[in-house]
Amino acid sequence: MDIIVLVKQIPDPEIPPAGFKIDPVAKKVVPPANVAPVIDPYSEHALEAALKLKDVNPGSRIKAVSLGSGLNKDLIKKTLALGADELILVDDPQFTDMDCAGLAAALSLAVRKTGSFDIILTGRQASDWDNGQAGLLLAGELDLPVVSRVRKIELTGGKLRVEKVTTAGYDVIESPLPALVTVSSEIGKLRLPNIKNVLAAKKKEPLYWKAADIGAATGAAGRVKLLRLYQPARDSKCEAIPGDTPEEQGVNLALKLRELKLV
Amino acid sequence: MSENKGILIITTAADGKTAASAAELFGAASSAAPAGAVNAAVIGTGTAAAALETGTFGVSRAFAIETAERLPGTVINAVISAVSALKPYLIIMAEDDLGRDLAPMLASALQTAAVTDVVSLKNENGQTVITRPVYGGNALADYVIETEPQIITIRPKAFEPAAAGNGQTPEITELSLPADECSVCLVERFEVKQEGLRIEDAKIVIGGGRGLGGPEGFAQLKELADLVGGSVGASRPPCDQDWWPESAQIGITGKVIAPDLYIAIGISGSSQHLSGVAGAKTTVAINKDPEANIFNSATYGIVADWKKVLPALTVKVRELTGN
Ligand SMILES: Cc1cc2nc3c(=O)[nH]c(=O)nc-3n(C[C@H](O)[C@H](O)[C@H](O)COP(=O)(O)OP(=O)(O)OC[C@H]3O[C@@H](n4cnc5c(N)ncnc54)[C@H](O)[C@@H]3O)c2cc1C
Repeated sequence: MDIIVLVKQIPDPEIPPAGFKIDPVAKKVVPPANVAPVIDPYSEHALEAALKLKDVNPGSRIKAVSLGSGLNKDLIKKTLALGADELILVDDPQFTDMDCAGLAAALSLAVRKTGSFDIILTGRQASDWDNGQAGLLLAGELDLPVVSRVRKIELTGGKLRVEKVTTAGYDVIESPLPALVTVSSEIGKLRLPNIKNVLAAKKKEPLYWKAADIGAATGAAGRVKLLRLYQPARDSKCEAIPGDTPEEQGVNLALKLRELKLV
Repeated sequence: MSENKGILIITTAADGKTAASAAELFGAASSAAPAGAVNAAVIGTGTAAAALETGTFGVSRAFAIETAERLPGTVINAVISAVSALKPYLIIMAEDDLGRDLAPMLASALQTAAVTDVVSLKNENGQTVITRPVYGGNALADYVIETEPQIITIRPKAFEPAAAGNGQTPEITELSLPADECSVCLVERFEVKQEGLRIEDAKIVIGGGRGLGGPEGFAQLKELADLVGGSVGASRPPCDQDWWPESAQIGITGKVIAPDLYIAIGISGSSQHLSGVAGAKTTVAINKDPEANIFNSATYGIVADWKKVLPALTVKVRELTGN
């Protein structure tokens, strides 16, 4: 089967909160010096889902597509080292501050140019803006059936059978192909590359496309305007529970909670 | 000036009982820029009765969409016909299993835009300004949606529920769904039974992190939680390592909770975790690292080894509560 997996490059979401800075005027995050961007963790789960599908459907082809601006080739080549057959970097300054609708429109153009596919995999959300919309909007653009937050994918009788994580448990859902699936972390961690693939990946070069190559209109108007970006005010008035020993502090905490009528 | 007026609340019902989050949706509506009536569409089972109930929030027209499955792809056309009938400028739904899919799908179908997981709304000069956490909760973003209808999903517990009043009797329109026709179909639904109280419902939640070092630590948290009628949650590492069930993970990938009391034990306080507990009224942190970020959002703190603090705390609580 032909699998397209969308892989987003983002600032490292695991930098400690103290190192997180924004530029309120530019309405942008200022990545701390010497913290390199990463592949979005949920994209990694989507890639793992693609690799799992390929494990059980030999002969499948995985095309990884990353769209953004200032993409780091060495970083995203990890997809090749893990077993993706092709990598396409759609890199253009035009893709800097897009809203979800703009992103989905651009992705749909990139996917169309990529060629035919049976399934498109994305992360359930990207850990920078956490919108959780790109996959669903892209499905809308391409008029594809879509299931979000999936933790298990199987092919049975030409149909897709997936487990979708829900608040109460999970749903087993069937969908015709081609389809779009957004993948949740429960699918499992991205595997480690094996030496053979790493060496093979060294020889492979990604394809590079610009906005014009996929026919993305310049300066397409957005639908959502970002007015302000700021850091939440945290009340840092943490009161220390007194006591000479940890045990005494434990007792005093119990007394405090009782005084507050919380227990 | 747009033709669209008023607000459409999309909520769910099961067996005629409206989702608890409905009152929060109406609460959110009252913070938006007012422009016309607030009406409703109810999706689920027993929706005619539930739709009637929305009158207590002042709804004059309500749509009932009857379906056992509540799948976004199945209900979307019915929702679109409710939208066409009402022409709202704003559509509000919950950030839940249905809403988080339906909002973008509806935005796509209606050529407009959605903003998800909204924590606050403001009326600024007649325009609805929408706030949501971004970057794992490290930052907040204020947005306006420039196309209509504007669609938003509301984070659970972020808005004060609206008070139900005497209201009125709404005019109900029942919208039927195409029978047995689905492209994306539900085969089976599994509810994973959670032991005891769900963390989303508990007034007291004790959260354990990587600092607990293993499942045994969680048994101790459970003992304290049982004493106070609370529930035990966890940060991500303990769930990843199967020390505690995934269903009780707190944070951006897990559950959003807003208990009266949250006690975070051996949790460093990453933004992705705090994102799920921002609504807690009182937070207590027990962590041996005085620099841990959790202390920046805690009301009370103890810098010490939890292994020494917790047994003493538990014994004293047992004595005080007589349990
Ligand atoms: C996309 C994404 C989504 C995520 N989603 C979530 C989410 O939903 N929920 C979530 O929680 N995390 C989430 N994370 C992970 C998050 O970034 C942190 O890695 C995680 O929350 C850390 O968990 P922790 O605080 O338990 O562990 P650590 O950060 O390792 O902290 C352990 C703490 O325990 C303390 N400690 C150790 N031993 C003791 C002792 N004996 N006594 C007292 N204190 C002790 C240490 O001082 C330390 O502060 C997500 C990350 C990403 C990138």
